[in-house]
Amino acid sequence: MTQNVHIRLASQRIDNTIVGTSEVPRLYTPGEIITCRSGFMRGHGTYMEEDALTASVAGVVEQVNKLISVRPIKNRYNGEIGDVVVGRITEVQQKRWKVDTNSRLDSVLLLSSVNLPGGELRRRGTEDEQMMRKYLQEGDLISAEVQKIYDDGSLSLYTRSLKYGKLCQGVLVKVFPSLVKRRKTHFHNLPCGASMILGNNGFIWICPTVSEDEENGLGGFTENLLEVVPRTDREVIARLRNCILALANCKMMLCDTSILYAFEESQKYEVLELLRPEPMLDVCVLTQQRLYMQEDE
Amino acid sequence: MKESMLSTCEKSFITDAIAEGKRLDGREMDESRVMRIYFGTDWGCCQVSLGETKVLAQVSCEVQKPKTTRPNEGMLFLNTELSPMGSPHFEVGLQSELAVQLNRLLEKCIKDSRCVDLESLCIVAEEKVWVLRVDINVLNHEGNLVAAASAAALTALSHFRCPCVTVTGQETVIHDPSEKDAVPLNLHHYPVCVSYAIFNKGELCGLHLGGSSLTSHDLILQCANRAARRAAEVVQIMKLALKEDADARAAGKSVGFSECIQETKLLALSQKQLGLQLDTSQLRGETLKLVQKKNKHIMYDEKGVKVDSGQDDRDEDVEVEPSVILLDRGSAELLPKQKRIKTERTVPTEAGVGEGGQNQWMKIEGDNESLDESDEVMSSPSDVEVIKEVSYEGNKLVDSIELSGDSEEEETVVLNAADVNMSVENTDDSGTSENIRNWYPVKQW
Repeated sequence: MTQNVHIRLASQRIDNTIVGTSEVPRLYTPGEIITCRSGFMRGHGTYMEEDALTASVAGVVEQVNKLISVRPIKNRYNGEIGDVVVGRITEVQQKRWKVDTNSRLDSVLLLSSVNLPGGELRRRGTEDEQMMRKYLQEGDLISAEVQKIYDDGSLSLYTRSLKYGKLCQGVLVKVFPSLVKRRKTHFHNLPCGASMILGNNGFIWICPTVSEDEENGLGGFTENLLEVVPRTDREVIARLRNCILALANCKMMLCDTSILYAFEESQKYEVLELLRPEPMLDVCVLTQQRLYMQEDE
Repeated sequence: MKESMLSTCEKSFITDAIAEGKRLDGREMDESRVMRIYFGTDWGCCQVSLGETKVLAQVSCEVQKPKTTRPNEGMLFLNTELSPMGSPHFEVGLQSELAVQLNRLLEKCIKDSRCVDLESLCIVAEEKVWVLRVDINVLNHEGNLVAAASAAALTALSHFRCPCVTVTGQETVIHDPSEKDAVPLNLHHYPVCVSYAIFNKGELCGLHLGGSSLTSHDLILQCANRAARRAAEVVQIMKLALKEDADARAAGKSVGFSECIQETKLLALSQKQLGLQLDTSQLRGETLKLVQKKNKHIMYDEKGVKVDSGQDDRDEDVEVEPSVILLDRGSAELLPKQKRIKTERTVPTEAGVGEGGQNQWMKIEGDNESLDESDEVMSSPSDVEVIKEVSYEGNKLVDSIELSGDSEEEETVVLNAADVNMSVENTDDSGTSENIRNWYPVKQW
């Protein structure tokens, strides 16, 4: 078994841009003048320099009547109420947990917003506070929904529904938040045998599909770390992960259809090969073609 | 910015690896990264780099009134700065716990140990003394700040020269260094901070002033012995560097940080050494099979690529040294060197690039303008096409990528046939070694 070492020059990178048939929006780079005309109000991502409105971030210009703002391409996650996010616990505080969700500030998960084991609805007492660490520790991954946004921009999460809770065996993939489409549902059970949670904050969780009859009303906090995931499932999950990374690399939007198409297109490659730039580009181009065909239908 | 968290499985991976005796970068349990010391043009300015961690220390002095409790002694102040330059999660200002801890450790190490002879800093008792100030700046934080900072401070102190002072009656004259040579400081001894990390169950040693783990007596003793040895090593390195610098200055050569600052090359993400360690046991078996089968092997169309397979002193571990074969554009294959197979033919075992011990990798001499390289072909003799030396003149800096141990470049290489003037010749391998060229770039055919 030979070991492959791939070495390439930085100046000979593969160009990852896939130009679609739709119009490519005009991108502004920081420092580029948007307009010199007066009478516009400046929004986020812009600043005035010598009577000219210039962009301060790299992105597209959004104009609402007289308000000009620049929406950056790559930025931290800005929450909206109702978004599904995947986050990691960073701190355990008195009556809440602090969760890292790839935003500017850590999000907050209040003790009153979680399902207690047993599913009871009771007042949270002091014993509950002391048992907080038993439920969720630092470093645990959870899926949750955004309940509300505080004034400073931090999010308040809640896991009231049984489908949210602690995430156990699986793979976390981190991509740009802006690549995840807003859809009706973010929990997908893919036909290939894996389940996926597309967090709006760019964290994507892939895990083997848990069969329905195992669900019991335990509030989603039980951990099943002892169950061994079979190898076929692991390969599927690994392939999915590489497909997602390939799509993210070529800046394509992520949703269950695009990921599924990419998964199917990638079957001709080995899972390992998908980490190289050329197969990545190939898979993305094919996926885009299929998406266009689907739109045309 | 806050520090990015490691996930639980990453943490458990690291602890499990430690339990097995492996470290992330392949070092031994008590092995330290290479320490390099650079001096600036001023006396008392030095930068220490421990792997990628870089710390800069500067010593300055001024005359002040001494403390009333100690009228005969000079004073020494230590100041540690952790600026965001060192790491994104450092805040401006000295509030972080790490900064305070670092400062206190260094103070204990250098001030409380009384290594600097403070009495020699006295000019006029009760009136004028030298006050030394050591400013330590962390330029890059990649771990083990304590050792790097202490080494930097100590080296700066040993390097520093106080201006010469003459006292005549009521007057004190401070001489400019150009008039009279400055006087070096007196250091009684050289205290160096050596740090270890304790993992649970006492498998690994950990010595940290102020740590809170429970260890047994002999573990501490063991630590202390090892630390003593390591400290001696560090002091050796320091003294050597000091001596070199002194020689350089005496000879009038230019000194300064120019050696460690490179302006013409992009050094982001570069490392001094590419460490690649392959599991060679399987590889060797397979190559032996390949050779015996006399398969037609891939030939090089392009410039040879060499990859340093680790440090030189680790050659003993690697029985078979890898060589790189270029398959096609954008990928290369690493096959191990074959050992000298006792066949009748003198197999072109890349003779020369060979068997443990000596570093046979190509060294690109001097400038980057022209490269002479020879490509090499693996394995079986008869069906092999040997490519002669490939030489080209290129002004592209990018082409002159060195991946040897001295390399400071990114690990990328152009594998573009168009860049290279090739002359490919087929030769019958008659088994003579002169037809077979190695990786050496020296001569041109």
